Amino acid sequence: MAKNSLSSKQSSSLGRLYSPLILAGMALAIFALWTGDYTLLSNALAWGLAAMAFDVCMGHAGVFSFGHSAMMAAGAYTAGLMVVHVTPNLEVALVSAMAVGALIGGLMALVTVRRSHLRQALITMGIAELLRVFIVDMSWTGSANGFAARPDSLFAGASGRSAFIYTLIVVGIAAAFLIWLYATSFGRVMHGVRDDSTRMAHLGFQPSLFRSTAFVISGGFTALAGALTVYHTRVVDFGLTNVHVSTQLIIMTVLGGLGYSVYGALSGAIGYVLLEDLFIGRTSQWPLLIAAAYVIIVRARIGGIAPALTRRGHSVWNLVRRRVSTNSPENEKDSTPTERTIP
Amino acid sequence: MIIDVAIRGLLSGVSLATVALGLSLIFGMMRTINFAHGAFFMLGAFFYVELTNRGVAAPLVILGSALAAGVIAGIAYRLVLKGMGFLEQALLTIGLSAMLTEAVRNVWDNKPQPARVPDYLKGVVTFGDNVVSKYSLFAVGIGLTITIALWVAIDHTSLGMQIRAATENGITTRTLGVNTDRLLTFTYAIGAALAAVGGVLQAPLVQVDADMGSTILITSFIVVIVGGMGSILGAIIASLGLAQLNGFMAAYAPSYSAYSLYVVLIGFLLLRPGGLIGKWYLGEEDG
Repeated sequence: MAKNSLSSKQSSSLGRLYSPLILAGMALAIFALWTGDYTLLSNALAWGLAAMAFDVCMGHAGVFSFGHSAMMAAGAYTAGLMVVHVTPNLEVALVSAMAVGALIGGLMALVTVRRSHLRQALITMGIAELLRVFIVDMSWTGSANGFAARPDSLFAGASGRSAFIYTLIVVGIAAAFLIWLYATSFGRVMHGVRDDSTRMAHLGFQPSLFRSTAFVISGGFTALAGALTVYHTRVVDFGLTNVHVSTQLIIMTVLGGLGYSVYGALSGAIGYVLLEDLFIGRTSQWPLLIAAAYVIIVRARIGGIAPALTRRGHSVWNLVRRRVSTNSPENEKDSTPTERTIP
Repeated sequence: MIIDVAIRGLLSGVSLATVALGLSLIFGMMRTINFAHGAFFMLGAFFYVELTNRGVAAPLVILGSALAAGVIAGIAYRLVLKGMGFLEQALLTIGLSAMLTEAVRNVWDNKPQPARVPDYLKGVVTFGDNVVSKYSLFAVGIGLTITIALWVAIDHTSLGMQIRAATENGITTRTLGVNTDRLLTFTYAIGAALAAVGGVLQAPLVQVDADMGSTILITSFIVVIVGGMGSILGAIIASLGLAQLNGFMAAYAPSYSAYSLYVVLIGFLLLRPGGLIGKWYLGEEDG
């Protein structure tokens, strides 16, 4: 983990905690003014938020989710439906999307947190598919076409630029909240549960409680990201329900750095979207190259771009690996037979 | 009506069984969570299109596709997946799946491919009132042969016993003189080849495009979970049963049919994680 220690509540430690975030936000704002492509940057920020939220589950709490497309889609559809049927106010839509996302996260947590990684992956995938089928089935969700929705914010106008600034602020607040969360004792226990849940249980913390809370927070923020896509694209995209969304979140997060504060996921997602836009017109092999880079990063245990750049790659990846190998007898079965030890 | 639905269910059940048995080998027995299985299925369908357009005979198409997919999978397993933990294998197969999909998009045009049926397999066969196309009978014949052959091979031969031993306790098996690395690579290749054969057989019946793998991937996982991890017979029974369930739901309760498979999946994972004939209980985490 990044050394975001809040050992003393001095202003200098707060500065150390948040200065990378503020710098990143300023860099993005300058980049936006320079290129003028606000829709692309808003999209990158929304995916950044989704990847950060996904990372709460996978990188920080150690819950393997393969169904985050459910929350992303639920956020977008809730926001869209609120705007079309209740009130065009964006803030109401965002808050209700978060509530629905947290609800779905809580539901998934209820049935997954006590179970093995394998079952976590498959149950979450099943729930996401159920939601997709439900959305196709219902006529009021626009079936497989999505629908248009034009939210109005209390604070920002309808131009692409104000949408970008608004998204930047919302994502910034979410990132600041998560950085704060990881630095609190709650966050520390969450990391402890990820690294060695048996030990945390013996210390008197209930692992399932911390994992569930992480899942609810993750669900809320993922849905917020889905709702933000509605703000800058003005449509509710049916594509968000696809299982590829979950895969893409995993790829983005792992490319950036799984469980590396918020910066791993954030930089992974933003980098992914921006680089894709930059290269997709020039070479049709770009998605193949990204996939190959991803496989190499996982295979070589580099642990993501962000930690590799800051030379903390191996420590981060070892945390993730230890979680896999030492969790419980069940997870020993999950490892490859050649790695198994004689009991 | 009932017989018609049952026949259709049997046809789709047998073709599902071919793909799902491959996953049963890789995921059920080797316990490698293989998210690339749908990609190998898709690869098989593209091989079918390419080879059929070049006028290769159907049996050679099946053999060639299986061999090509098996070699690709074997190399991928050796280079990438071998010796990795569960979570890493999950992440890596997601990456492999993306790589294969994008490679296919690059080699063939990124649009649906027309899959032609060879002339000698065109036409229909009638049983009383029920009409079945010749091609689907051919596909079922091949699928049944493979399914039964695999069941016999895994459960009743020496090689099958070695595979079962290597997946259950690798170290002991190695101590007894079996090259488990080679054996597991071989098993992964066979599993992927089965997925490719499934893709070959399905190609003329569905739309062939680069995204066709994701549905069958999820369905195959459902089959392996319902049949029970590591049980070949369970996977065969589950494929046939789930295909019938799907067919009858579509015929008699169409508004709920799309949900049925996922409800079955979640229900089994929560209530009966060992599946129908599971040898391994999937276990609980602490908490």
